[in-house]
Amino acid sequence: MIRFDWNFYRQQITNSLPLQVAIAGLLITATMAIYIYASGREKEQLQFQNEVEHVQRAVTETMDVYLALLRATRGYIYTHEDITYESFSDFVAELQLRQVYPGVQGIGYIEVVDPLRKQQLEQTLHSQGWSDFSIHPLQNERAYYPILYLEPPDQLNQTALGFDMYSQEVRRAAMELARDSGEAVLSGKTTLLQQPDSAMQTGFLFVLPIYAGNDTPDTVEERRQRIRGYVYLPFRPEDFFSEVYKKNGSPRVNIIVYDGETEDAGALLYTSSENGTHKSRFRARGVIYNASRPWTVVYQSTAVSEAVNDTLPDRRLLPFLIALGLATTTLLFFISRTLVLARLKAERIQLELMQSQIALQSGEELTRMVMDSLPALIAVLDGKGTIVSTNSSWSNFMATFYGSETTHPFSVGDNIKVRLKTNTSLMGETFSARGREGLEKLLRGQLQQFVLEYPVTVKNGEEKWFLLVASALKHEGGGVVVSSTDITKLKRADQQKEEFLSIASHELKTPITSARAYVQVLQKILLQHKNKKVAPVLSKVLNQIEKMQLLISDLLDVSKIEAGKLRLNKQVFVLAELVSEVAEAMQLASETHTVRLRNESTAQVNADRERIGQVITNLIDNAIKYSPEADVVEVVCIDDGTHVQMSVTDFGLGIPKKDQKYLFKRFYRVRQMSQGGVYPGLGLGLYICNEIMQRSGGTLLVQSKSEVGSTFTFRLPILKET
Amino acid sequence: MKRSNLVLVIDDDPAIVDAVRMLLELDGFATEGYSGSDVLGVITRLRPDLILLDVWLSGTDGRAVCQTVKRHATLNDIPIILISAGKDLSESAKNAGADDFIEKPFDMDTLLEKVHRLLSV
Repeated sequence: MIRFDWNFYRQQITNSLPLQVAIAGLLITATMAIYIYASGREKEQLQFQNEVEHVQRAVTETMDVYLALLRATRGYIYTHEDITYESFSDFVAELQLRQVYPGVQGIGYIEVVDPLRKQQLEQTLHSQGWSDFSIHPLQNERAYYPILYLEPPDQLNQTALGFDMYSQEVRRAAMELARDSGEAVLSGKTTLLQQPDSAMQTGFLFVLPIYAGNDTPDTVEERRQRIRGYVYLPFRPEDFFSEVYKKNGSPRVNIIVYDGETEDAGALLYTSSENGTHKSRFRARGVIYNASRPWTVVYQSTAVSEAVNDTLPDRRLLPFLIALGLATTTLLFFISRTLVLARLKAERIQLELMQSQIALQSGEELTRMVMDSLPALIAVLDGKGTIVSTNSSWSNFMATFYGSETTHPFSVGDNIKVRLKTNTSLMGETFSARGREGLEKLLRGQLQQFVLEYPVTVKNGEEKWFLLVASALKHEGGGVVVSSTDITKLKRADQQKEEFLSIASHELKTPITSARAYVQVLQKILLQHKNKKVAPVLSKVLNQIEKMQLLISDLLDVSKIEAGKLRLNKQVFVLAELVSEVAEAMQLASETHTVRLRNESTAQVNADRERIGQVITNLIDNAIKYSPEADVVEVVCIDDGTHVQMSVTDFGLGIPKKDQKYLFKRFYRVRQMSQGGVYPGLGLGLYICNEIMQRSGGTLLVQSKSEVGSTFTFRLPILKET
Repeated sequence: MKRSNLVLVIDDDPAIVDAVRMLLELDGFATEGYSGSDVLGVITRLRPDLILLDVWLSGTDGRAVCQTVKRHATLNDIPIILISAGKDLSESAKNAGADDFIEKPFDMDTLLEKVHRLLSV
């Protein structure tokens, strides 16, 4: 089954929101723009169509006016039996033709003339004043159709008089059609007689038949028999359409008019204006039938009218609207984009937060695992000393020795300060005395770290030793991490080592004592027997035994120091006297060096005379031992009122700076540079000296320079005499 | 040294007893040695003129023995020199009522000197 992952799609939708907003905005903008444009266009189209209809109507109306003019003229002829040039001229003058019908060139009267009557007619007209009147051209034998009258009587019209209208095909066709139909007929395009040489010679004739009997016969046959003449209007398309335009008011459309039903360039009648290269926005085509004659009219919107439309308010607003739409869309796009980005960022931050929380949790888990895997007893206290966390070693130990698994005095939630105050016996004397104080100092922030070794007697009576390391937490609110390591085994091993050393040195001393005693007995016996050969040998044996004895003595001292069992038997004595004693003894023992003594003090000290003597011995002995090339050591004893000091200076190898700090450590021995080896000895002498000095309230210092020599100085406080 | 004084040497180590006795005898003293546990019994029986008494005895502490002897009604005038391998003897020797003390390993001449001094008084 495919599961619909709504979150995924929601994410997709959210991410593409700005794009969607942009697309929607663009669509709305485009729709509105198109709507406004289209409605504007529609309005324009309507306007155009309106114009077209106006023009069409104007054409028809103008034509109707012309027709009415023809009918009026025919009516005049029907009602006046003997028309003369005079009366016709008066009638036309009454019409005010040029003023009222400016497109019309004139009104003409054509009479059907039997060839037999030609002479008579010409004479009649001659008598009426038209002396040069003659029917021309004489092509037709059956009848002539000359123009008898043509008004108004200007020069141009007069030249047409007498012209046989049948002699020209286009006119004849119109006239025959008019005769047969009894209606007015518009001729095809023809050349007007009035302007034979002019560029404006193109024109039309509007022809209406006149029948004998003064009415229109019912049948074609009768009409042919009774045809008597015609009245006609010659006019030029220029004049005609100017008239139409005048009626129409403003030229909002161009018109191109063709004679006939097609747009044939040869049949072009009229072009209202030169539209030039302008490509019209609207175009229409219509055929107008005027008195049975089709005219094809092409209508075009003019550049001017289009421009006028373009300045209409809604059309003008379009670019602003588009700009506004685009701006709004852009704005919305960026706003939604900002929102989506902000949201994505928020989601990312939330994710990171979750991840860091997970990391934090796993960090806590790791800490917990590390804590639980340690053999040390670990507890974390808050700033008030309340246990907030313990490791399993802690809780196991406490449960085993101080209670049950569920209740013991050092569980989480217990305050360690309260517990230690009320249960002083729990943690042993050492801890009660020093540990509590240290912890409180840590909690108060007076101490950064506190280290203590302490013994505890646990439930079953067993003594256990612990190394406590308590460290103050640095974060706000404080707190302490307490780590207690069981060092019982270490302590036991240490005790065993000390016991061993003590027993071993005791046991070693015993045979040495007896050996020495035996040798001395032997010496005495040999002396009594005056044996001079063996005695020196024995004294060498004795010497070696003494060295061994010293070594053992040092070992014993160290074991005492380690066990804290070095006891000083203090007594009051003058240090300088002891110095003299020892110096003299050393002088006796040394065959190589002179011990140069300078004693300038009489100060008394309260110390263990024997131990201080041991120190002096050691220092002088070292000075001799480590200056094999020299032959003197200097011993000086002085005081400054508060302290008395004794120094031993040798002129030997000196001790390198880097080695000086190790001088007072156990088992340290100075390397003999030249031979790469070390001086004999266990490396305990100075360590013991320093320990004795510290326990006597004094100090031991060294000053040394390589290849120059060393000075060891100890200072002891002077005992003030009261 | 007109008469030969009896010096009783008491030490756990027979070798020490032996060597010290040899030394003292060379100097003309009469000596007895003892390495056992019935120290007081031996002292009572022998009534020596001087006792060299080791502190570290099997089963008992030389200083306790010294104290007992010094508080004894009839034995209390016998001079006692305490012998020990330890160094901090002076105080405890004084406390135990010993007349003198000497540290192991000792110099024979020093020992002889101390013996002579106590016996000449």
